[in-house]
Order: sequence, then C-alpha cells, then structure tokens
Amino acid sequence: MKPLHLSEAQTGDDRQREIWAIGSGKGGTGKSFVTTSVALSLVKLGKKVILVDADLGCANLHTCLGMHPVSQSLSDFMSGRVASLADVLVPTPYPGLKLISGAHDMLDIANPTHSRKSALMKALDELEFDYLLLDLGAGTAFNTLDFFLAAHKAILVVVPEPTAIENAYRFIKSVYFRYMRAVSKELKLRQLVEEAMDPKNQRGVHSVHDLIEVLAAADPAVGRRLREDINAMRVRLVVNQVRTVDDLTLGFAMRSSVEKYFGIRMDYSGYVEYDDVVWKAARAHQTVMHEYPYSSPARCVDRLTRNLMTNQQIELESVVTNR
Amino acid sequence: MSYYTSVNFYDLLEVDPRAGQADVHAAYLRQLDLVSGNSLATYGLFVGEDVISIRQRLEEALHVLSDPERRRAYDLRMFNHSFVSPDARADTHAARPAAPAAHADGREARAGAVTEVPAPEPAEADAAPKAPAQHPPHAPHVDLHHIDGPSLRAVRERRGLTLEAISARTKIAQYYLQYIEEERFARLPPVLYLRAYLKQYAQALGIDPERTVNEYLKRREAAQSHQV
Ligand SMILES: Nc1ncnc2c1ncn2[C@@H]1O[C@H](COP(=O)(O)OP(=O)(O)OP(=O)(O)O)[C@@H](O)[C@H]1O
Ligand SMILES: [Mg+2]
Repeated sequence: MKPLHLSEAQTGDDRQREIWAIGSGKGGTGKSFVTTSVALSLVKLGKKVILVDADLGCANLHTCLGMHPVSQSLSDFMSGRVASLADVLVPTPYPGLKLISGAHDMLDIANPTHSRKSALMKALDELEFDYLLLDLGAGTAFNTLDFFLAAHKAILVVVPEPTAIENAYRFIKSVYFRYMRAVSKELKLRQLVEEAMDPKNQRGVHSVHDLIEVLAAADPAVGRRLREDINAMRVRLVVNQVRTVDDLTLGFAMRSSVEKYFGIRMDYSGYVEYDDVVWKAARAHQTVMHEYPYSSPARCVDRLTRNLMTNQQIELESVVTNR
Repeated sequence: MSYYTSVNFYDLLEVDPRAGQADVHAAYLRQLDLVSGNSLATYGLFVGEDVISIRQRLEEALHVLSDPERRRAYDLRMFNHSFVSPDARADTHAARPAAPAAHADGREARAGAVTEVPAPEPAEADAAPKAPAQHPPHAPHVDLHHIDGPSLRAVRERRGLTLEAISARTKIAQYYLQYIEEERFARLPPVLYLRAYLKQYAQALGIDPERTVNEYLKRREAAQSHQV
C-alpha cells in the first residue's frame, strides 16, 4: 500500500490534481449517482475529469451517464490485454469528462493482487486530469479499503437509515484499522491489530483511538507516527437521499460522535436531497445535472462539489437560514 | 478507553467555555440523546459497555459545569483561567454573557477538533424575554399538601401559565415539562439533571424548590421500584 495520502495537502488550491474515492458501507446509497453528479459539476467549472468505475464486482457507471455499455474496460488493463490505461479511457457525451468503465466480464479480478493494485494506482496517477473520481464497490473488501486509503480525498456516502449508518461505521473502522495494520510492520504490532479487529477482543479495543493507545504502548515511535497521520487524515461525509431536516442534521451528529468515539476526523461536506428527478432522469437515460440543473439534488451537488474542492463543510447556520 | 473519556468537559459537550447554564444543559441533553440507543446518528457505533462509561462521563461533565464553584475550580485546573464571570455564579441564565463574543474567542481556547451540533432546542432561542426566576409578585397563594406531577400542573394552571410560557422562562424543553407533569419518569433525564429542572420549574411557579425536588424525586423512586 504505497501512496497512502488520504491526508491531502493542507491548502484548498483547486489547481492541484486530486484523486477522490467515493465509498459507502452499504450498497444502493447513491454512490454512483453522487459520483457521476459531482463529476459533471466539476466539468461545469471547467475541470478535466476522469470517472473510474472501481466497483470491480458490479460496474454500472456508464448507465448513470446515460451511456451504453462500453467495450473497453478496466478488466482489459488488469488482465494485461492492453498495455496502457489510456487505451481504456473513453469519451463521454460531456466534454471534459472521460470514463474508465468497470470490469463487467471478469469476476476474478474483483480481487486483484497487491501488485496489480499498485500498478493500477500508479497508472491512474499518470493520466491527465484535474480530478479523478473513483466509484468504489460497497462493503469492506480489502481492495475497496485500499483505494479509499490511496485517494487524496476519501468520501463516504450514507443515507439516513440504520443499516447504512451502521455499515458506514464498520467501513470507517475497517479503513483505519487497515491503515494501522499497514503501518505496523513488526509482527508483534501486526498481531495486536489483528486481535483488535475482533470486536469482542480481550483488550477492549473498540475504536481507532483505543488501538493507537495499544500500539503506542508496544512501540512509542509507531504510536507517534500513527497519531500524527491519523490526525491529518479525514473522512468526508455526504448524506444522500435527505427528506427532512432531521436527515440533514444527521451529518452533524455523526461527525460529533465519530470524532469523539473513534478519535478520527470527519468533515460534513454536504448532503443531497431526495427527489424523484433522480429516477426520472435515470429512466430517460439522462443526467440530473444536465436535465434538471435547478432541481434540489443538482444544487445540493454543486454545493457539495464546492465544499469538497475547497475543504469546506456544511455550516449549521447556513442550513437553518437557507430553509 | 475512547476519546470520550479524555477530552475536556467543554469539548465533550461541545459548548463554549463561557456558555451559560442553559446552554450547558441543552448540550448535555443533546449528547445524552446521541448515546441513548435511539439515535440514528450513532446506530451501531458503540461497542459493548462503552456507552455506560460515556454516559457516566457526560453526567460528570454536567455535575461540574452546572455548578459555578465546581466549574470554576475545574477551569482553573484545566486552563489556569476561569471562564465563569462573577455574575454568572449567582445562578442560571440570567447572567449569560453575550453569545457572539463568547463564541469567537472561546473557540480558540479549545483543544482538538471542534464541531457544532444542531441545536433545535430552546437554548438557541436566547432572545426570548427573561422573566425573573423568582416568585411572581401577583401569584395567587397556593396551598400544597403534596407535590407531584398533577399538582404541579394544577398550580401552573391556577397561575394562568402555559407550558410554553414556562419553557420560555426556564429554557426547559416543553416536552420535558410535560413529562414532569404527566410523571412519565422513563422519559425524564437522569436525576442530576431532573433535579435542576424541578428546581427551575418550582421557581417559575413560585413554590418551594427544595420541597418540590424532594417530593417529586420520592414519587419517581417509588414508581420505579414498583416497576421492577
Ligand atoms: N438523491 C436521490 N434522490 C432520489 N433517488 C436517489 C437519490 N440518490 C440515489 N437515488 C436512487 O437510488 C438508487 C441507488 O443509486 P446508485 O446506483 O447511485 O447507488 P450505489 O450506491 O451506486 O449502488 P451500488 O452499491 O449498487 O453501486 C438509484 O435508483 C438512484 O436513482
Ligand atoms: Mg454504484
């Protein structure tokens, strides 16, 4: 796991090339819709954007763009059929936006080896873009976690439902524990991490904060590094399918609790309202951002995109006064 | 254990170090609500017994911050500086410092990640007129043989006061006042906080706060031991 720069550069300079990964613990939260819409919003701002369908098991990003299935895909690169990732980069109906379609024919590559994965990250990094967006598969498969950790910005999509929230927390915990495992090179430390992954572990390690304490006790230098790294990392939260004010304020409460319990940092970057235009557009093979640019989801996405670019968050005050 | 047990009380409750009593109470309730088990925001977050120690810690924070003397001592120990203004030591929200100023620099004095939690509770409606908390001058005299939920309600109605009015005056959420009157004990906050509520409610009604607290809590205890 090489790049590991979940912690982005501290500035909000929007000229820098950034890889954003979008994940969620649970499927069907609207990851693909949000990813596609954010990409279109960036394009509208004149950015060069590449969308990558990294849901290696179940790819469908082309559908969200109203496109037909694409013949070239990530699997051609992963299997070595094409030499360069640029060969599977296809244009979309939207100038400025290119797509790398997901692997839909080879189930075996849903779990690529470590070296394939780092080759892929490197190849992605060499493409030409301002923003590269990775739509990750649902769940906590290792490759999903690794993509999430390797991105500059890690974006987590939830919907206001118990299972989605629960899985989001499981996802966050898995991501950070995986990171700590990668940093813990020594066998002794690695065993501590693995032990801690069991929720019923004897040491009572339940959160990121707990595990850092345990590791720091075993190896102060590793503890120091982890504290610094994890303090610099952050997860960006998006609440999708918002129907009520309570749904919307959920993001503030999640941030508050997760920061104090896990001891990690979370930004509440934005929310997207629920609206029938989303399925209307999907059924007509259109995009909300183009067909319904003044709808509430489209405006929410524009705001979310701005916040993500500039490292800003939803402000409680603006939420209250805008309504 | 978790970060909950190591942050200072202000960061724990997410209040400004200069926040008045009403804000502290409201913040405590918000945080308590998040660990109550009914909160969507923390669904599946806490593992095992952690919730119990988090609740204890929240109670501890309220215990210290809701008492001017204890709070002062805590501030001095933690920050070498007391944030409680001399006036605020008297009691309750009457002497709350102007909110914006307190917000601006208090925030910097705080350690670690600072976040804002939605505050739909009455604490935000701070512009509401502040009636004196003491005995209303023209209140008709009421003889109380015993004090319980229904009798509190009877007093309130005899005084011509609505729950809304009491809520505006005391900054206690209206539904809590209603639960007090209806004796829905399970829905009421923990004793420490309930005590403060009852005291304020009694003052707003112009009846003896000590007696109200004692008698009401006895009723609550009796009802709970019945349940088991
Ligand atoms: N804000 C919204 N308002 C209305 N419907 C929405 C919204 N967001 C997503 N949907 C609908 O929810 C469904 C799931 O969305 P989407 O496919 O984007 O989720 P996903 O997280 O990518 O799912 P998967 O895990 O299967 O990849 C779709 O039918 C989509 O139209
Ligand atoms: Mg999807």
